[in-house]
Amino acid sequence: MFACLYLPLRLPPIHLDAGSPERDPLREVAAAFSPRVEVMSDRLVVCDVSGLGRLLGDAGEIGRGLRRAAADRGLAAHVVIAGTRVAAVLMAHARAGLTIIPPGEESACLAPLSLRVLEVVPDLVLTRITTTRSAAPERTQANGLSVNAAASVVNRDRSSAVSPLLDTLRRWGLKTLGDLAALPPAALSERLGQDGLMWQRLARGEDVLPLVPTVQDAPFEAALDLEWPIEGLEPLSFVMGRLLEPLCGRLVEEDRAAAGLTLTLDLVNRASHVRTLGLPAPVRDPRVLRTLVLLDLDAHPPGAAIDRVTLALDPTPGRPVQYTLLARALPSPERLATLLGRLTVLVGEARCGSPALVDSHRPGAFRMTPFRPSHESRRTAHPDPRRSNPTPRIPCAVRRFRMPLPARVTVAEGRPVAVTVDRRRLPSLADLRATTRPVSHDALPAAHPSLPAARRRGAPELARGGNASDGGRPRPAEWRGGQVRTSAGPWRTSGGWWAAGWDREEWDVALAGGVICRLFVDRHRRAWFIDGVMD
Amino acid sequence: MLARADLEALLRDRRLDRTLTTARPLSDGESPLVAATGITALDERLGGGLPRGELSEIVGPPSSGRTSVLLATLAAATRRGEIAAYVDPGDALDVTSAAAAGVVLDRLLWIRPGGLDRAVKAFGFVLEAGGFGVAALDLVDVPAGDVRALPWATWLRLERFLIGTPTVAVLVAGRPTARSARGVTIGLAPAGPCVHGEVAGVWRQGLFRRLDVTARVIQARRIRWRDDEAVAIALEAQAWEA
Repeated sequence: MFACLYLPLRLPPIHLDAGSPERDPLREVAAAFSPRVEVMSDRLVVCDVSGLGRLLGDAGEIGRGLRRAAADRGLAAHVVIAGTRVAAVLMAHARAGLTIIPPGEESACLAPLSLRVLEVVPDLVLTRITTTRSAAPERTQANGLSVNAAASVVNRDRSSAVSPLLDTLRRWGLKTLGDLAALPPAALSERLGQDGLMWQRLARGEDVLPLVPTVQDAPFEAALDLEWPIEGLEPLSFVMGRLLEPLCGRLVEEDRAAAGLTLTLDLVNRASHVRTLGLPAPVRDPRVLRTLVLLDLDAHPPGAAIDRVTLALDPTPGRPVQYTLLARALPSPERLATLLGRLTVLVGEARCGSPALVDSHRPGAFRMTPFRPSHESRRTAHPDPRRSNPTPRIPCAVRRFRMPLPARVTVAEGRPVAVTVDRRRLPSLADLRATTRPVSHDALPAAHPSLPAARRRGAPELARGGNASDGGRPRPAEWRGGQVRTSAGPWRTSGGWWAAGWDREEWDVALAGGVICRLFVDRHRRAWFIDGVMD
Repeated sequence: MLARADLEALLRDRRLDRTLTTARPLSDGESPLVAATGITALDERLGGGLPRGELSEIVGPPSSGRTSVLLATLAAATRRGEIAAYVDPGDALDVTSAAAAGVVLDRLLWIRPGGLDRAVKAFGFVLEAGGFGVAALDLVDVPAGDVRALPWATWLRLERFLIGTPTVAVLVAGRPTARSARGVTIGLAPAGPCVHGEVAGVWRQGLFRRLDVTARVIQARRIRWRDDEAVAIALEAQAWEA
């Protein structure tokens, strides 16, 4: 025996606060009477009330009890008690108040209903068919009706499936469900196929699917109030392990994994320290999760002692992954996540990742992106150039000075003739470490004050070598200046005039001793810099 | 359709090569697993490539092609579908050069520690995590004195992470620093005698066109090299943008 509760659309919508515990009041009403509740929508639920006769009485008592419970919550719901699920749902859409359909009389009670009720109900009655049977092998039920016929009815667009059917039935002169139910099945099948037989069964109030209770997902949350406040990561590590072990056990049981994690620490100063971690891959290993959380807290410490720890996992269904022999093995997502977490703590989040080019003419422009390698077919995405060209071109790389080195350049006849590093204008170690911004270097570093213009022809400055870290100001260890033997340039490049732009002339120079480097002169500041070394 | 050699390499990578009947016996100085650098002449001299599970190094003076050879190695690894790590304390990577070399950038983990101690630690993290085809530590911009001041056990500890793994660990430096017993040292130098007054590279029509370098491979049983064992490598300069 089934009970259906339905809130018609003409009634005011249900307004609930986000924090209201009764987010699904109809479900709450039904759940108070039966543990087997199927939620079809926020306005329609069906529950199995078989066996309640001993507790509450006959069907009328059960129905009146449901109406009272709904009214207590301010819901003027249509309540129907019937022997089949379909009959209860159809009647709930047609009649207000309480309706009792005696077992075995579903067809007779549904007969007077208009065919129009089929426009509303089929989606809700047959919804599960589309999600579970789209790829099912051909099976036949006990009544000889093909199971896939049910799928075929609603695998198509639902509105387009029902409207032509109703139009056909109306042209035939049918007006009620009883008219449809009275048609001979063989003739109906000849004209409308299996679809027609399915609708006829609905018109008779016969169930095509069993009731499948909706299981409400329990949140993956755990909290622990500490007996005394704790500080430091080591004691917190034990607390995290105690919270994560049972949560991860539930994940395994329900074939889920954590796609994200939210940690809330209530501190002694009544503040809350909330950290949300987005995991690069679903994880269910408690040790990995604990390591990632501790690494994140190491980089973002709470700042006060901790009173309460709350942990919430964002579950995602388990997904079987088929590895391939035809692609290189990548590190497991857990190991990769742990590695990236450790590197982030060590060097900072902005200084660890994959480089990416940007669409800019600014020299050296790039951006950092999260490191997320994927399994791609190397043959289709990145073919080996040696297959097409046995002797592929090997490009000459540039070793770039992220903060260009200020230089003293001697110019003769408009061309550089000698280059040395201006050690007095080198950036300090603090300046270098302060430049943690990685992305597309939009401006020359501010640590370089303008230099006097390059000296004209005269006694060139001798090349300076010596210790690479003079006075605590580091510079590239190998760099030595020298006389220019060959130079190519200038090539003028400029851009970004709307922001911190650049305007410079670049030179490729070969120095005595074999070093080939790239110089440029900043035309605004009239200062020379060394951009990089060809290596 | 995979070539037979590629399939065998994949099986070795998965350690499923016990049933291979075509595995040839090891020859003198040859490692069973190698990673090609992408430079044909150099790979022939190396016997297929850099040995996996070993610490090797690429050394040479400035403008000798060290970074170019390293980027070619990273490009070959990422094109094979492997992931690579580049620990760059000097923050010297030119992303444009890496892309021009063919490095698949989304398979490259670029770590910019900003100091030698952090660099070595990050390198250790990478080797310990495993799964990388090539892991490189760039010591070019680190003063030689600071590198020499590192305890020798540092390199031994890093080598232990490599044992039995398919990872090629590479150090890039100005002079030989450290390598494992079966690793190799690739010594690079500008081609021809480059004394005071000589110009490195090939310049035509006022443009820097090409940098010619020579590479010499130093292995455990070959500590002296002869001139005829040097490998010539031509590094093409990138054209100026129009």
